[in-house]
Formats: sequence, structure tokens, C-alpha cells
Amino acid sequence: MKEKSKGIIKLNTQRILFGIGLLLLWELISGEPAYLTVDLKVFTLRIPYHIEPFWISCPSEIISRLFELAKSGQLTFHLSITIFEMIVGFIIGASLGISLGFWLGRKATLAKIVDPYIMAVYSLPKIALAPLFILWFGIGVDMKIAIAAIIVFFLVFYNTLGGIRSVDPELVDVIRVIGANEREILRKVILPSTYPWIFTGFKLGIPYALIGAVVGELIATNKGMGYLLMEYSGWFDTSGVFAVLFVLMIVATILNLAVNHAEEYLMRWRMGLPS
Amino acid sequence: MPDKIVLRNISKVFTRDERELQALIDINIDVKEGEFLSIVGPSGCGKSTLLNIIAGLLRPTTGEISLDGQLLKGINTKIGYITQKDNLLPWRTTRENIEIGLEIRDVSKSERKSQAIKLINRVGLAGFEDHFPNELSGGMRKRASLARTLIYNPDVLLMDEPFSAVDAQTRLILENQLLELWGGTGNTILFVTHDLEEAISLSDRVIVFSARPGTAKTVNSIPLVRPRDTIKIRFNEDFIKIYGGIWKDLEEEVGKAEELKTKAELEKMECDQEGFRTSFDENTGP
Ligand SMILES: Nc1ncnc2c1ncn2[C@@H]1O[C@H](COP(=O)(O)OP(=O)(O)OP(=O)(O)O)[C@@H](O)[C@H]1O
Ligand SMILES: [Mg+2]
Repeated sequence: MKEKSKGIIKLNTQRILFGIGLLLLWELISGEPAYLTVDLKVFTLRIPYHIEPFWISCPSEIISRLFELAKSGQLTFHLSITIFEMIVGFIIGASLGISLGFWLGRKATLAKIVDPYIMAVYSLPKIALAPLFILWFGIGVDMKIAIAAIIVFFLVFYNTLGGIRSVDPELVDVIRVIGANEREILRKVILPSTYPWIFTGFKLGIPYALIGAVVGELIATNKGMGYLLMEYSGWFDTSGVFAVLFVLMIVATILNLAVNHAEEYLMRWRMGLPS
Repeated sequence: MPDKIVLRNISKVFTRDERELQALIDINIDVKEGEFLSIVGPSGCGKSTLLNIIAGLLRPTTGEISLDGQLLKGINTKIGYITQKDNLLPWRTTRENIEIGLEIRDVSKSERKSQAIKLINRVGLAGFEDHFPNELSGGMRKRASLARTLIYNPDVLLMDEPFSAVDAQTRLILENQLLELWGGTGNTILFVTHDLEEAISLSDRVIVFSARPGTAKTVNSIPLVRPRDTIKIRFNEDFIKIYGGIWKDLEEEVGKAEELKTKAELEKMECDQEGFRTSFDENTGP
């Protein structure tokens, strides 16, 4: 036990040192363009050891930009909008996905008929629907919610459907002989055996909801993290762009960690998740 | 003793890929109230199919079943069915799995819990009530599935090779525990196995099934005194005599079942070869 925690501390120290090293290297490379010239007789090799900050900015600049953003309240404002779009889109998409998945999962004939059509819509790159959504919902928050929702919907829908199709019929039979009626079968056998599948849908859907919201903001908007990205890019402010990317990276990482923890907690009784 | 279950002219034909397979033919069995009746037979002779029919999960192609004098229609919820696989719900703990029959019967939470704990102790699962099925050994899962059935007190138990997946030692212990649990309850047990020793040591009567299509070939009374110890009884002279008598019948059927298996495999090989030949011809044709 002690050995193990020691190992973890060591690993984490190494990871932090590696990160600091990377940032230092970045800081050092960034600067007035300069080259190491090597004369090879036939031609001269020019190796750049400084790169114009216009292209790659530098960590110190990015950090100070982050502080500015945070202090002015801009960060909270834009970030909360993106997260709002993501969460609402996720909830709408996931609940529609679960409901429709369940409904269709119990109608075998209908499912067979509509299957190719659903597949066709599913194959469409969802981002390509953005212009349509602009027509329907305008360029406000609604349109980003719609993009996030439709991406999440398909992921959750297909997983729910898969879950219902993989319910072990013997389990259903056994519980039926014990005396369960259809409603109890649904509640006590079918629903719980689809949970890991639905959860897989959620797990895939969460990062995609963020992607949907940000891409929606990149396309047309006046607020949110995607808007901020476009703004900074428009001003040729590389540090600003990196600052926003950094925040998005942190948000995505936190979401992934949360999902992994939830997974460990929920799946104690399942060795692996269906893939 | 009155008849608990009456099976009349039961047969079952499965149709798959336009091929017909006669699994059961002309089954006539009367199960008496309170008796321990075993069915032994070679693998594939339709034992599980018969239990599924009695549980109402499968419809017989011909024939009818009555329970307590009433014709059976649909799912038979008056019996307890312990299937070949333990079929515990993997997301429920041992206790929650055992409680499900009472949950369905709307028994209060506290009552459910106290009854479940009692049974958990009786089947020897104390200390494992909060474990999930994948944290239990095969023998423990069998005990749990037995307890899940016993908790709602069905007066008929169908058991399909309940101990076939556990090791020999555990099996002997479980057999004795089953007799203890059953003793004095007056419940009827229909027990399926392909282990003749197990069948004789547990039962009042043993029915030998023929190879497919399965039917009752011989019915044998087992006049050994109760209470029995399923381990010691195997050294009893009468036991050995009974065993010798029934084994002859069973051996013949096991032999036939093996032949059937070999034949099926040969047919399959021929089919594959034919398939190969046609595709070969197609490839080299003009
Ligand atoms: N649903 C089904 N569809 C088609 N054939 C089936 C079906 N269920 C069983 N069979 C066939 O019926 C025959 C009897 O099967 P069954 O499972 O009842 O045998 P069993 O006596 O229980 O065998 P074992 O001792 O191996 O459990 C087998 O040949 C099997 O392949
Ligand atoms: Mg079987």
C-alpha cells in the first residue's frame, strides 16, 4: 500500500516536471526570429531557435492574458454561456435519445422499417446542419443547443437501442416465472440492463456536446468561448487564442475525469462496458 | 398422494432454418404431490425443453399440462424454476436478488429484508449478502438462485442441472443441503440431471429419458429410507444394486445420443464439403 502511494507520488512529480519543462521550452523558443547558421559548403542550413511570438505566443503572455480575462469577468461570462449551451443540449439530446431508443427498441417491426432512414441521418456530419439550424433558431443560444443536442441524441439513441436488443431473454423469462408483469419486467430487468449502454452513450456524448456548442459559436454568434476564439483570431491576438484554448482544454479534462469517476462508481458489478 | 403435475402426450418440434427437429415425443408423466422426482438422460434429449414447457415459457407442439388439476395456460407462476444458468441479475446484490420475488408480491421492505437474511443464513451465504453475483463463486451463485426461488414458497420446484457447474465436493454438500431444506416441507421437486448417482441419492423416483427425441423410457422407484446422507448412501448395497439396474438403460441412451452427435457432425461436414464443391465449380466454370 505504502509502496503504491509512493509510486503514485513519484509518477505525479515526474508528470509535473515534464509539464514545467515543456512550458519552459516554449517560453525559450518564443522570441525575435533567430537562426543557427551552419555552413555545409554546398548550402547553408538555417535552424530557427527562436520563433516569432506572433505564431506561438508564449506561456507567460498566455497566463497574464488568462488573469486579465478572469479579472474583467469576461471569462465567467463567456464560459458560462458555452457550458450552459452544452448542458442544455446534452440534457435535451440525451432524454430524447433514451425515450426514442426505448420506444423503438420495443417495436421490432417498426425499427426494421425506419432503420435505414435513421442511419442515413446519422451518417450526415451533424455540423453541416448548422446553417439549417441558423434558419430555424437564429444565431442565438438556441442554435448551439440544437447542434449539441442532435449530436448527443444519436449517440444516446443508438446505445439505448443496442442495450435493449442485448437484454438476456433468459433473465426476462426467469423474472416472469417469479411472477413479474410487463411493467415490472421493464423496470426490474430491461431498464437496468440498458444502464451500462446508456452510460456509454453519455460518456461519448459529453465531450461531443462541448464540441457542438463551441463549433456552433465559431459559426455565428456574439458570445461564448467560440466567439472569444474568433474575436482574438480576428485581432491577430495569438495569446488570446491560446488562453481560450487552454480554458477549453481544462473544461474537457474535468469532464472526462468526472465521467471516468462516475463510471468506476456505477460499474462495480460490470467488468467491462459494451463497446 | 394426488398428482401435482400431469403431463399428457407432450411433444415438441423445433423449426429452425426450415429444418424440423423433434426434441420431445409422447411424454406422459404424473408428478405426485410431495415427491422428489428426477429425470436423467443424455445431453440434448430435451430435458431443459420439458422444464421450459412446464414453466409455460415454451408451448408444446402437442399435449397438455395440468397443475393441481387445472390446465396450464401461459406463464406458470405457481412454480419455482431454477434454470441451468443461475440467471441472477448482475446489478443486484445477493440480498436484492433474493428479495425480488417478495418485491413483486409487494411485501414491505423490512419484511423482505428479514426473510432474505433468514434464507441467506439457511443456504450458507451469510457474509455475502452485499456482494454482486460476479463476486460470488459458482456454488454461491447456485445457492443464491435457490434462495431466490425458496423465498416466495412455491410448492413445486423445477431444477435444471442445478449443480452441474460446481465442483464435485461442493456438489455433495449442496445436495445434502437441498434435502435438508426440502425435508418436511411437503413440496414437490422435479429435478433434471445427467448424473445418475445424484438422481438416485436425492429422489423418490428416477425417470430415464431416451436419446432425442426424448421420452420417458423407464420409471424407477428408489425405496431408500429418508433422511438420507447423499455421501454415505452411495456405499449402501441397495444403492449400488439400484444404480446397476438403471445404468443399463441409461448407458444405451447415452450411446445413441453419441451416435446422433457423430451423425450430425458428419452431415455438417458433408454440407460444408458440398458448399465448397459448388463454389469451386462456380469459380472454374465457363
Ligand atoms: N429454441 C430452440 N430452437 C431450436 N432447437 C432447440 C431450441 N431449444 C433446444 N433445441 C434443441 O432441442 C434439443 C433438446 O435441447 P435441450 O436443451 O432441451 O436438451 P437437454 O436435455 O436439456 O440437454 P443438456 O443436458 O445438454 O442441457 C437439442 O437438440 C437442442 O439443440
Ligand atoms: Mg439442459
